[in-house]
Amino acid sequence: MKRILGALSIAAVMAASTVVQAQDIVLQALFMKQTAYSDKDVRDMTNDFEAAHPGIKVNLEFVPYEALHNKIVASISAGSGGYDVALVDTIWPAEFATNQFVDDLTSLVPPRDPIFGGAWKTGEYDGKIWAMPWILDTKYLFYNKDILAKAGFDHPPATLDELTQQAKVIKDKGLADYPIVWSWGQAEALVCDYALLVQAFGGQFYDESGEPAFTKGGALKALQFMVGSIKDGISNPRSTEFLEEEVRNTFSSGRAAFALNWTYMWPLANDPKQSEVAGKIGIVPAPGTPEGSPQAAINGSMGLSIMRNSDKKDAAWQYIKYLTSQETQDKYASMSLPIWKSSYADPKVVKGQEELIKAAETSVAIMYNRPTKVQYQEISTLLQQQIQSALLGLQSPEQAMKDLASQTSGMK
Amino acid sequence: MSGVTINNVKKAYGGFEILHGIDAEIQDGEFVVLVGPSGCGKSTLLRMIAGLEGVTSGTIAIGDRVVNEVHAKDRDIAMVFQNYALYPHMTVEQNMGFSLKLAGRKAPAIRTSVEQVAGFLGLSPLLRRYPRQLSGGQRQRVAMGRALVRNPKVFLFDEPLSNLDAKLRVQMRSEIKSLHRQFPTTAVYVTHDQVEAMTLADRIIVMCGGRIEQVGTPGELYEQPANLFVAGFIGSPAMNFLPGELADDVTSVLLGEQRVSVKAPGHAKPRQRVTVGFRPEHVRFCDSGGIHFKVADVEFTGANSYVTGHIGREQICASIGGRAHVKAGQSASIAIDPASIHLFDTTTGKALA
Amino acid sequence: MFIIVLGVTGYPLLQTIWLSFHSRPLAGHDVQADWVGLANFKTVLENAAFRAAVARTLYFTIVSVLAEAMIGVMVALLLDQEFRGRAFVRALLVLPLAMPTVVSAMMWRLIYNPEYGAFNALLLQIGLIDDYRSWLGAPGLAMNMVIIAEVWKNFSIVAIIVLAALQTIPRELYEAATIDGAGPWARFRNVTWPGILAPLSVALVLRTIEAFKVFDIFYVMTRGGPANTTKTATFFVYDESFAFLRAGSASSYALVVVAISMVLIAIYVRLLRRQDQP
Ligand SMILES: Nc1ncnc2c1ncn2[C@@H]1O[C@H](COP(=O)(O)OP(=O)(O)O)[C@@H](O)[C@H]1O
Ligand SMILES: [Mg+2]
Repeated sequence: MKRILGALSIAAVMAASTVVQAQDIVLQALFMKQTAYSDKDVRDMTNDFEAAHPGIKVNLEFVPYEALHNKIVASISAGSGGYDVALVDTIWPAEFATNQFVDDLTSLVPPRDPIFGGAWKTGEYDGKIWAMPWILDTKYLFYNKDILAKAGFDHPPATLDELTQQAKVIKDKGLADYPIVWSWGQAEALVCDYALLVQAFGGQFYDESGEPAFTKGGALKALQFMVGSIKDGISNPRSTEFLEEEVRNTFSSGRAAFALNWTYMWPLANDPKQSEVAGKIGIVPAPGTPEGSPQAAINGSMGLSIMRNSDKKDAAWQYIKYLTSQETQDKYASMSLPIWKSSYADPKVVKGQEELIKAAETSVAIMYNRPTKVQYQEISTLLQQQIQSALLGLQSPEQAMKDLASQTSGMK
Repeated sequence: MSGVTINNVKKAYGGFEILHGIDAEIQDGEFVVLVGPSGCGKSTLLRMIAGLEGVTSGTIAIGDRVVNEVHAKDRDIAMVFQNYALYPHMTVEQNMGFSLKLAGRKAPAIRTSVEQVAGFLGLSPLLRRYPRQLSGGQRQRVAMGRALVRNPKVFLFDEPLSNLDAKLRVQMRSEIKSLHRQFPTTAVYVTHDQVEAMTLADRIIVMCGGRIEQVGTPGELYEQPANLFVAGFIGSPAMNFLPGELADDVTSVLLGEQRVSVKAPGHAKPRQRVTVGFRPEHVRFCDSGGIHFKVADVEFTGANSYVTGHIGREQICASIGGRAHVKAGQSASIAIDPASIHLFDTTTGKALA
Repeated sequence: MFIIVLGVTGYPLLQTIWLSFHSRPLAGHDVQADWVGLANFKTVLENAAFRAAVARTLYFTIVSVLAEAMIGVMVALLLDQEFRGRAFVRALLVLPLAMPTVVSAMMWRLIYNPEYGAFNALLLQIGLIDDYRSWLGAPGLAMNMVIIAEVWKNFSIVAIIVLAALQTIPRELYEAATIDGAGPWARFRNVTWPGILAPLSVALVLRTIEAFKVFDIFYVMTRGGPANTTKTATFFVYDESFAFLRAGSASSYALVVVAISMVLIAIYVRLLRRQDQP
């Protein structure tokens, strides 16, 4: 029976793809479709990889970021036949390593020095590397130069206070109904924006002894800032249902003066086919506060992992090595900046995106990490809900964070 | 008081006329049967009386009131449908009392009326049942009961017995008849079955192709059919027809080579082409000197024998009381009483009278 | 045959029941199951957020199924009338049904989009609102907006079933009722309604079961937000297993959801039986 099934599945694979030779190794790889590299970029890179590595084929699957974690988990719980390579977010290695979903890559990865330290953080847990960094990403402040000029400002805000003040002027002058747009929908994107503000206000999620610190100090101020900016009408109230793509839409249509978003918005908002503000925008590191951090950046990097239950680990590593190589990354640098330090001095990479690279130089160096927790998913789920209840005025920020502390107490 | 007067009524569906000007006068308390082949417009006429179909032109009056514009529920009529149309989710009692309930009568009064009619129709033990728990005959009776409870001015029936088996049909027929005798309310009854029409009707309206062919009592239709259609439609087995030609003296008719005496009316013309009609029950076998008849088949039903055979090339049927003394293949001689011969103008189909 | 049915439906159910009394990670190196008795159920029942989600799901179920019933019956009555283009309109009914839930949810998300959605444009044009606003981002509104999308997706099941039932009602019944003195409402109440009640109730029971286990439409349209105000009961099963990796308590959540739908069905069946026997 097993033999028949085996034969059948081989026949099915052969029928599905006539290009595949019987002896080919076929990798299953899981990516996301939104932010950073586009589907097309990943397909092109993979085609190049296949051309350079006869005998290895890669089947690609793309899911929205919001489905990525659970897709990986579901494939593992289903047993064999899952993915060989998967894109892993910086907040998951603790969980994936502890549950042994992914392989330890420490002995395979290249020397540390040529790659940014913030990138290595992406896949690190317990002193080992569980994901090879690939997407080096953080959030920047995007601004509409036209609107700022009309409002009488010749420079983007350097602090959150200045951001608030410029936004108020822009609103009062009727240049934008709601000058700032964020991704504050009930999703991980909300936690990214919040964590960036926590850094800006000099706060932290947990103190050195591991006790919750989000009920006080900079972490609480960050939430109060968010709530206040909606109340004052300087932040778009619809932000509470937005993800990154809605932020991009609103900003690209010229209805916002400021937006917080990942690198990928830079080329897309500058593309006249998709944007009404192409060529009129600027990018800077997100502003901070004098008492906290002068600038803020969230570590939104992602890496590539080999799944523990893969039986094609050599080929999988070759594929990861190819995608993360400096050569490949330099070629596709417009949607996602390379992890390699020396790329930023390469005129081919820098050309046409000097402004982005300049912002990146500051931001990448200070990227802030969300808490490294085995139960991060659960904590984040509760955090999203509490932040939203404060944003929507259902609860005071103090109460929301107090509730969160009691809901998450004892979580690892 | 509450007869039905139909005056030059026409009905058209989307420009296509199916009733071509119907005139009829139905007396108060009269039981009138509309009979005719399927598709001739009987139901349509009945439904116009009920108010379920609009009148294209002409007028319909119930009593003295023209009801063309009167809503069905205000015409004070009751109707019994072929498939009974009982409300499936209501008990027999609720079915029968429904119209009274809608009329706003109080529950005890409804109960009294329903129980009275039910007792009368033998439905009392069934009052709590639902239609699906009844036999066909019982449903039919409930449908009648529902109509009776209303005590309407006019009863309308649309083929109410055609879903019953032959035996029940005969039984219900006589029940309807005796009901009408006890409650002589105006009734218009549609059927395609001429036997039902003959047995039930005070008067019959014979229809064909959206027109009235003849109106009369069963006896009149049987004895003096106005035309070939009525002559052939009324009576079973059907009347025999032979082509013939009046002789010069108009007192006999030539059937092929044979001469048969007839009583032709005064206006009949010599050598006129006619259709000769006679009923099977008016045929006698005689020893000799009659019309030449070749027997083809004999059917014995008990009370009667039906003998079919040929006169010349025309097939005819004879109905003989008791057993026939002829056999298939035999030649015989038959006689027909001149008084029972009907003559029709072959071109118009009208009776020569 | 019976054995097959029992095996196909029974095995996963037994597995779920077994799991619900154990603590077991969903996957990983150590998928050992420890007997914990009723502890999982205690967690489930003591979880205030879950209780709120159940109440929310009941609200969703009752409102959307009632609306589907009302709109479905009304549309069926309309489409039972003769009019030009009736066949075309009837064919249109299948459109929402043929659409995968995920696709129709995406479509409604676009319609409700606070910046360029058609819904805002429409309301602005007819003067019901004076500025574009957020529909899926507002705590009180989001649930009802999803209900509208759900009703749009599913009313046609009810309409199609009722339409088929209407065509089996003999014309003579309406005529008999007309002659008995029934106006339009009395005819509906005494002929139409009893004629469609049985198929309608089957449709509603099926819709209720479906609606109570709703997931896709919320997952696509709101992901449970804003501030959990659209987080339905099945989200807890999904989160508990695939996000939090606890197969045991996930099973308990699943069983509690199943138990509640069974109670709902029992109530329905009882109500309908009472309707049927006047
Ligand atoms: N609603 C209608 N639309 C068009 N034609 C109809 C309609 N109702 C009946 N007819 C036609 O009218 C004619 C008479 O029908 P009907 O009165 O039912 O005949 P019957 O004598 O058998 O009761 C038939 O040819 C029938 O096809
Ligand atoms: Mg008829």
